[in-house]
Amino acid sequence: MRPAGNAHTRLTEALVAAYREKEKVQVDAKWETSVMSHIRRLGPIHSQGVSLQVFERYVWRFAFTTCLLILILTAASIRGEFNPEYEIARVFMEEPTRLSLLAFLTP
Amino acid sequence: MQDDNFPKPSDAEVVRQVLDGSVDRFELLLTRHKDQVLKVVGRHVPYHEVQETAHLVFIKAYQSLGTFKGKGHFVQWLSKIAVRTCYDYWRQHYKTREVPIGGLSERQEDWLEKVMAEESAKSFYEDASRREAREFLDWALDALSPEERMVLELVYLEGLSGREAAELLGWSVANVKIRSFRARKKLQKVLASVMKGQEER
Repeated sequence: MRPAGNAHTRLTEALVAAYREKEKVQVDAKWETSVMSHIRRLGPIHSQGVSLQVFERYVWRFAFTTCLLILILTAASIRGEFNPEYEIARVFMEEPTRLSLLAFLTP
Repeated sequence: MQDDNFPKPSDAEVVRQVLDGSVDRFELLLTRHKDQVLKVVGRHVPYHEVQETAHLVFIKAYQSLGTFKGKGHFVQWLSKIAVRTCYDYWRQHYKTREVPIGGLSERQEDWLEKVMAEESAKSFYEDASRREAREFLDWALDALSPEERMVLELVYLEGLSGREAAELLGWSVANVKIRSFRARKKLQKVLASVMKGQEER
């Protein structure tokens, strides 16, 4: 009986060879024309569109981290019993300098 | 007629001209790089889908031309778009696939039998055998997810390094290593089960 490992190796080698010998696809001038006419229909690229594209890419890249950060901060503020009204009142009472600055900044 | 003594503009220069509004200049990039795009796409998607996918690659390249920094080679940048478009093709294909993967056809079973009986070395270079090998390969790859399929094709079938595959797919090197390891294990399992079935026949 032949060892199964040899048959497996032969099969793998045959599949790798089959993959590497895939026929090359040829295209005619008609294909190029259809690509170019599609591109002409899209019109010139505006730099504004490009920067929007870059912006969108970064927004999605950082979306997960931002959401995670929001969740962590929310959990931390709930567990730490963070009370914004109490904190503002404390600042008013304890630090008069910051109090005047806050009064100046708030309408 | 083009004068051979006249210096040909570099890809980066042509890109700049296109971004300045000369849409027609994109044709130069298309003519220069269509063979490379067809080569990349031809390896990853079925034969009858190659033209349409390559068309889509050039449309995507045109739309994101502003992101080409001009530091590396344009052809490398274009290859990344081609690989990612093929990946998108498979993701779309798997989403819309209604029929589950079937068993091997009679021809594919015969081919497998030949390989297992050590006849493949002499018969592989026959046209019919090659076609069956490709069909068998497509059948086996269909058992993998789009991510596993792409990473396996790049790393094991094309022989790219983890870093090269990571760059093409836009993944981390660690992610490529993990996924390629899993994909290889899964493919081995598929092949082992089909070989076992063949032995039992």
